[in-house]
Amino acid sequence: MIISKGKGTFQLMVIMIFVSLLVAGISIYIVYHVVINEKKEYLKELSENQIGIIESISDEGKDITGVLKLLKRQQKINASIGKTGEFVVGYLKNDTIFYLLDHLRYDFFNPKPIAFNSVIGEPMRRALSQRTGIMTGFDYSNKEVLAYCSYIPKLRWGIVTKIDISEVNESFYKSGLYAGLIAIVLVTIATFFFRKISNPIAKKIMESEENLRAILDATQESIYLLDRQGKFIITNRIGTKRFNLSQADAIGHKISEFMLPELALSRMEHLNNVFSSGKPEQFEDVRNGFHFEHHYYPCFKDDKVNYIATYSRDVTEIKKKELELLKLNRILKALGKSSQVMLKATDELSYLEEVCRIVVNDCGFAMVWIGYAQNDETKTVEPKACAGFEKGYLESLKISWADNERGHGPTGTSIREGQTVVCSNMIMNPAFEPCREDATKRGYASSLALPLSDNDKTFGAITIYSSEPDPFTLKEISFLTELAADLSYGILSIRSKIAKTKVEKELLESEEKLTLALENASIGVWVWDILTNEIEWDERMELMFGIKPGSFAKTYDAFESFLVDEDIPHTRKALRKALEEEIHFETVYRIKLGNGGVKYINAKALVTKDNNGKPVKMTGVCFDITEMKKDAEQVLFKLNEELMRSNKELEQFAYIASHDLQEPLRMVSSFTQLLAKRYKDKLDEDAREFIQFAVDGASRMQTLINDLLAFSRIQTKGREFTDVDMHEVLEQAVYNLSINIQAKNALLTNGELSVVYADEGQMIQVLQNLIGNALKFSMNAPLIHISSKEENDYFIFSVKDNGIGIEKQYFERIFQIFQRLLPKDEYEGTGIGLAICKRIIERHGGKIWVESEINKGTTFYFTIKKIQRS
Amino acid sequence: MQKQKMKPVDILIVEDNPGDARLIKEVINGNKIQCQLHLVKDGVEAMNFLNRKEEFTGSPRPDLIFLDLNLPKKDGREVLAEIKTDDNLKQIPVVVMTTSQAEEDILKSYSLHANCYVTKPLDLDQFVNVVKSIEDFWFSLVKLPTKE
Repeated sequence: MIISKGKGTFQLMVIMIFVSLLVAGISIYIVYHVVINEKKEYLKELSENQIGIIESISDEGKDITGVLKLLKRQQKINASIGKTGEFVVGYLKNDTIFYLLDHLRYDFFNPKPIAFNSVIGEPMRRALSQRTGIMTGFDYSNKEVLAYCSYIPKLRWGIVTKIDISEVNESFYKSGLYAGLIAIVLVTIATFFFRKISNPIAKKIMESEENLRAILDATQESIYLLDRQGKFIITNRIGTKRFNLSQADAIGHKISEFMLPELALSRMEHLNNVFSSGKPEQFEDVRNGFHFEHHYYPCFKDDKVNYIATYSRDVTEIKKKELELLKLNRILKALGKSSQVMLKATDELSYLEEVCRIVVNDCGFAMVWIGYAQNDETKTVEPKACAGFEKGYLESLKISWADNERGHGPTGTSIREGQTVVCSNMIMNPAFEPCREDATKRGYASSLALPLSDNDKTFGAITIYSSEPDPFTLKEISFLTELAADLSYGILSIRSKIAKTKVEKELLESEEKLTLALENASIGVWVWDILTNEIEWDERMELMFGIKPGSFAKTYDAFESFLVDEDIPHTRKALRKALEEEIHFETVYRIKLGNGGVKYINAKALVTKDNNGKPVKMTGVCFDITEMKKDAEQVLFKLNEELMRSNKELEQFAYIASHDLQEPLRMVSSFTQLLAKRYKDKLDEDAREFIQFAVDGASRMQTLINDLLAFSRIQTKGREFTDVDMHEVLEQAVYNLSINIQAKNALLTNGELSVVYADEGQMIQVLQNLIGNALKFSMNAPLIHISSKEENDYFIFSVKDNGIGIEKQYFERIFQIFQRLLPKDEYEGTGIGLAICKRIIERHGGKIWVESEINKGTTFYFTIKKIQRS
Repeated sequence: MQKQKMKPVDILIVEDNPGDARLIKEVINGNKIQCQLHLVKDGVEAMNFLNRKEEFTGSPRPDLIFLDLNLPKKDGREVLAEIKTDDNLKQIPVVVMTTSQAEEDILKSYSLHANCYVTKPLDLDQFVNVVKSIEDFWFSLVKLPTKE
């Protein structure tokens, strides 16, 4: 509706000029009429005046001509009627009109008579015809005139007062011309100013319209303004684009022209409804797979609907989303339901079945099954529950989660990798090769396998099938993943619930048993609330302590008042230790009885700590061990006695053995020697050798017996431990071995040696034996080094030599009694020296071991515990 | 077996082992000193000998006693204790001669006032030496109280 600026202005101007001229014309016309009428009145008045004058004159009989001349003057005076205004007097004579006076265009002296029936001189003819009145017509000189005609019957004169029409009109023509010119100028000026004023307004209006248009066109919804026939009044860009039209093409056409008849019909129906009801309508339709939503609003004018404003939008995506949402809602619902089922479930399998049923029924999936991974040879996935399947189908599949072709299906992969596996299109996915035929036959187009896990361990999977090829949106997968997680949780919680129930049952049973045991064993139970310092005793406690049930004062002091004084300190100490350290409380104390006797009570307790490790509670039991104590004391006494006797007997035995065994030995030795001595001349070489063997044997036997005796006495005949300077010990040992050392030409060195808490004599013996050993098993000149070092709770001593060495396999054996590695004739000894060392070191709570290399040397190590003072 | 000048020395050997007794005899008899050896085989006999009881009514008072510790009937330690608590007998030097090297035996013997303690050596030569040394010590070196 916008007119281009220049063209519009021009048109406007033309119209305005036209209107101005019209107005001017009409004004002039009206003025003209007024002037004409005035002229007519004037002419009439003038005529009547003249006639009056003429009649009065003619009555007095004066000379007509003189009158006429007078009239003529008069006429001249009265000629103010105009330049062409004149007073004409004529008469009829022989059907010819004769004029009495000379007139403007009538030569009186050369009159040209005018025939009465001619066309000119019409006013006079009318006057002569005695028709008085005003008229226009052609005068004697054939000029159109305005004339008043009258007749003087007395003189039979016709009198005409007239004026040329042209004279009358001339001023009007002029004024018309001027008016026109003025109108044009004025209109031009007015237009100029109008434009000056209206331009900004127009611009504004245009802009606003442009903006509105922009809004309309920018809108992604189709917007139309339709009239009653459904013709487009206004459309927006999208609206016309939807019909592949330009806006210009659309305007004025009916919307139904561009639609399928069926659709058009429905549109028109809605249109008519809105027109008739005046109420908006909303409806939807589908076009080429696109979903549209239409809104029809009535536009009122004077309380009547004149247009319909419509807007339509493409809701395909929204509908899609809605559908998705619907699906998600169903899954959510399933989630909720499955949670409820989980809460109620008591049996794992029926829970699984129920969940499967929910997934199929509520989410609308084609089928679903849950399988557990088996750790058998083929790693099968054992179907546990399913829904939507015919029976036996799953079993026939033999699904596996092994890393092979059979196990590369979605379920197997999901279990193996612990991942969600989406198989959007079974037909296309190679992973489905093994079961594609089966699946497609059943109309399953896609599947989703979700792992079921316990922490990070996948124990099974839930596999969901859909008949649509691409049904799983990310959101859906996420919800279904949640469902799988819930399912895992549910399975685990059912398992733990079952286990818990079992445990609870067992607990109840064991509690019953415990109570029974406590009752029967008369074990008292007590609880010490450390925060409130209140001690609760059960009835058995009170019974045990010899007080009436319920009479215990519940304080620690009350408890302590029962205790025998000497037992208070160690009881307190045990309690403190239990509270401060990670130790259970256990002690034995005596309680005083009313009758002056005592009872032995064994108390045990556990400490409960809060999150900060602060003890808050001590729960314990007490049992009366008086009888036990008595029995034990007796047993102990007996045992001790027996032990002492046995020790004594052993001593006796060892003594007798050593003494009584040696006597016959000495007899053998002495008398064979005596034999050799006394009869040496009578004995041959053989006899002397035999005697020597006998003597040697006896000698060795004696050493053996002595060593054995020494060995047996390590424990029983050991001395009190004292602080022993190992330097002195070494000195003594070296002194004892001095002959041997000199004989072997050995070099002994030693490092700094520690002071140990030990039996000095035994320490001497150990070093003596070890150094003796080193000397014995030496090659060339023995180098022997004795040293010590500290390590943790021990001192480690070492005796190192450069002797023949010991094979590793004998490292243990050499410490056993009577174990010899080398023949007697090469290396003397009973094989008891190291056994004695071992026994001594063990008595000192240490260890002895050897490291050695053949032909390089041997190092003996032994440890002595640091400070063993009790 | 009496020798001139020297009054024969009486030695009481308390020894249940005839082998040892024989050995001691062998050694002593091989010596220059005139010795009268008396052998008893157990503690009871030893005490009877010393107290001149029963079959030993005419026995001499010994100048030296070789006493074994392990004896039948009455232990050598008891014998030693009795001798050393008997005012009449306690002057007689007692040589404890035994197989035992046990310290407690040595200690016990000395605490019962044994005059010396000797372990019987296994080697014959040593045995001879020991007995000879004792003999020399007690009969040549040491001045003994005169008999009653």
